[in-house]
Amino acid sequence: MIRKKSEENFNAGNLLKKESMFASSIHCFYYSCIQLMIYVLLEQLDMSERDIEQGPRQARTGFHNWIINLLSRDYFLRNRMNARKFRRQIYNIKEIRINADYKLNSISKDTCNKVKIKSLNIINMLIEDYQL
Amino acid sequence: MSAIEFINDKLSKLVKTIPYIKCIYEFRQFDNTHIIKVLPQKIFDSNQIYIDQENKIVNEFIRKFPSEGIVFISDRDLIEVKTPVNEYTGQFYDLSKLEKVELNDKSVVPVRIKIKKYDIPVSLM
Repeated sequence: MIRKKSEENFNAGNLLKKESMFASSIHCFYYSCIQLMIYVLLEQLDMSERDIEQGPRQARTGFHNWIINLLSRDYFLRNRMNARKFRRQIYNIKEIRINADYKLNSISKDTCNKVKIKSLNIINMLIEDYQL
Repeated sequence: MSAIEFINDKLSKLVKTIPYIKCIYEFRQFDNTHIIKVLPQKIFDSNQIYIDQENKIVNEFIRKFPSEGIVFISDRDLIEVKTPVNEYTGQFYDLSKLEKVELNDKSVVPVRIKIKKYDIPVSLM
């Protein structure tokens, strides 16, 4: 189900981009990646939904840094080069998602395109390296 | 040791190990994330010694500070460093910029080094 939600968010990102709603589009692209990361934890790291809910609370951290750090550690053992790329790309779109959701500045089509490409790279790397 | 102290220690050592780089460090309290911009892009992208060092720092950081975020970036990233906490400049960073500019004319780089070496006035030698 969470994988389907990830696909839906990516498609929603594309639709919103076509309608020039770039900030909302970026929000969807970012959450598409986060949902696929949750799917990896559930399907490949044998974590439960409860583990994922309680993990950040136990680590006393926000959900986003928690899941990025957790997946980075595992990813590094599988594919060092892609783990580095993954980390860099997810932090790039995380930054733009924060700007898109909370800051006053507008988001350009060019930035939206870049976020789409980076999201797609993350999704493809996860699919390939975790054989999803 | 706090996360900021850890990063300060590691980046000071990193520019000594790889003196051709410069690191610009920013801490974002908003999302508890440490951003380190590394220049030049060429070393960031393809120097294996640098990449290994970066991976080592990131993995140690995650182990020690799992509640905080860390990311290394360079010129082509979407993340902007607006309010740096600190900068760490390697001894030969300026030389790495020269090499970048003059890559197409390999003869220029040794000439510049030679000029530096022989430009010292005789009276000072």
